Amino acid sequence: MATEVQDFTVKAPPKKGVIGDWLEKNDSRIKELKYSLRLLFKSPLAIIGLIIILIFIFLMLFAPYVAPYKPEAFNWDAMLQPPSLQHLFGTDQYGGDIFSRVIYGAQLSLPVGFAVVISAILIGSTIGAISGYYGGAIDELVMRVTDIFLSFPYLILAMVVCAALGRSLEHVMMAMAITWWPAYARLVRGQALSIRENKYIEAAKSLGASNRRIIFKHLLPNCLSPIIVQATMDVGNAILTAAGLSFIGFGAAAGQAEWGMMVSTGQEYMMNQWWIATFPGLAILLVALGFNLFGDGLRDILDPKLRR
Amino acid sequence: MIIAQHHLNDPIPVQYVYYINDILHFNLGLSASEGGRPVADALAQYFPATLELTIAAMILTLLIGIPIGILSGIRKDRIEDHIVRVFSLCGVSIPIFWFGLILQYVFFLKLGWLPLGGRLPDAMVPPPAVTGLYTVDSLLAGQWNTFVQAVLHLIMPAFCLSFSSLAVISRLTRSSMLEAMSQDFVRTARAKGLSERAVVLKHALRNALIPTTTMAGLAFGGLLSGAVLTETVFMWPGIGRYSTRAITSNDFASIMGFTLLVVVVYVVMNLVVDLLYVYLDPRVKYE
Repeated sequence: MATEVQDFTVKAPPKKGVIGDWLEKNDSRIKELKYSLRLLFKSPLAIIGLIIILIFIFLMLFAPYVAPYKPEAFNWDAMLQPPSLQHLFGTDQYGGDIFSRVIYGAQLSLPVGFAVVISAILIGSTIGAISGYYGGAIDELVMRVTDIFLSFPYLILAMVVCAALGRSLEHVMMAMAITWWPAYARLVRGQALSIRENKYIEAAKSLGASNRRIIFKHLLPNCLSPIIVQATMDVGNAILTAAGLSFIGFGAAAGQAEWGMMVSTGQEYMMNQWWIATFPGLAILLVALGFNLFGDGLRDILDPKLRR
Repeated sequence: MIIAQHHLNDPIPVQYVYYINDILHFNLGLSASEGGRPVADALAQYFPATLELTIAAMILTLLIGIPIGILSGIRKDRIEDHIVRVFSLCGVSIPIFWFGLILQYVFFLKLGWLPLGGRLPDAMVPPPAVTGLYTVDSLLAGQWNTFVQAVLHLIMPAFCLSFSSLAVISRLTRSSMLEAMSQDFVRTARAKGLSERAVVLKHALRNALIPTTTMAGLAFGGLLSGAVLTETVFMWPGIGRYSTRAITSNDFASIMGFTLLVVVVYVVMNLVVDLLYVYLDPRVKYE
């Protein structure tokens, strides 16, 4: 019996260059991204949030070009001036221009927010992924440690760590990163537990992929969307908390153009010079609102359960 | 002498045993920032103030947060829903220390409706201490005037403190309302011809409250955090202000005592929530 000879020659894929290859390989991802972007532009609140974030990032990068005065340029002839055309937001007790100081404040607060969240993600998601992937005793241990961290209200834990480390903005960042990572460990661990059971993990295992490869190449990328949503909102929270810590006297040194610190100095002058505390506080509110609006919008988009 | 008194020459595990032993006897050491009196005394003096503030804030949170959550849940994607959504996002974004200052500016300075801060006017004698909560104590002693003043002093800080958890609670009530409203038993209730009011309040709400209860327990921790900031702004003599004073003056015994107290309160709150489950959801019966 003559067996049919199968034609095994595969047509060579047409050469498209590096970019073409990449486009083809990531076709589904690009479509997904386009779809997500379309959804994003349909949600006005998320766009408002994005615009606020972009404005503040712009201010952070180009503060010296935008701000009319230097943050530490004190003018003894114009102390405690109410808002006017010369000083849009008025001046403080040393005659510093509050408008400029608020703009320069973005250079301190935004990096703090980003640094805290990024370090929390790096620590938290690695620990969470390992814990969820291996399970067993490691999981038990990690979860009890996060329990301990989560049983402290985070501001209080950050306060205590700051107290032990001493007063500076770097220590505030460290303290907050220490208090923040368990939330991510929990989040990623929960995801990892369900992802672990998927067929593609089994497939990767049967192909002989190492545990490390599976965790970093298969597990973590699939946890990405809840992490991104959480992180976006957390940047706002981190900025809020850092400002709160500065307000009660940790973090920024007195006189530094940091929003929480400025509110704290303005507190004494609230009765007669309301503008000193009001505008820096408004800046904190706006930044946090921007990140929260954007994160909220992202959640609607990235969470398949809420999609239609 | 000091070294011997504090067992500083002993190995650290042994020191730890001494520490635990002291805690069991409510001996938390001496507070440097309070002129050397026992930390336990200081905590006992300041804690009722914080408790009063936090409970008031919690009541406000639930009283306002749950209704607006329900409203936005049953009017999904309508104008009410959007307003509540923006409101709750503002709530989580607002720096409460700043919000407190703004409230003071508006309600004390401009309108003159509410007092600036503190628990009672300076000239007023606190009611005889029974629970340490001025509102309860003044009622027990029958001092109406004091009660009114205590409530007036409580309104602004409590509202300020409740604002951020208000957002969280209303948000969660909304989403669990949405989930409950799409369940079969709600359709059954409607099919039976019950009024919309009965459907929402008796059938959907009862089920929607379960996740809200959990969150309320967790929000209590947030309120304790927030109390530190609120107390600073409103000159409220509670443990929050005590702890910031202690931290800035490196008074470690007080810091340890304060942290311990907060964690204990937090854990107890979560236990209470777990026990409430049994009442709210009879399906949950712990074996």
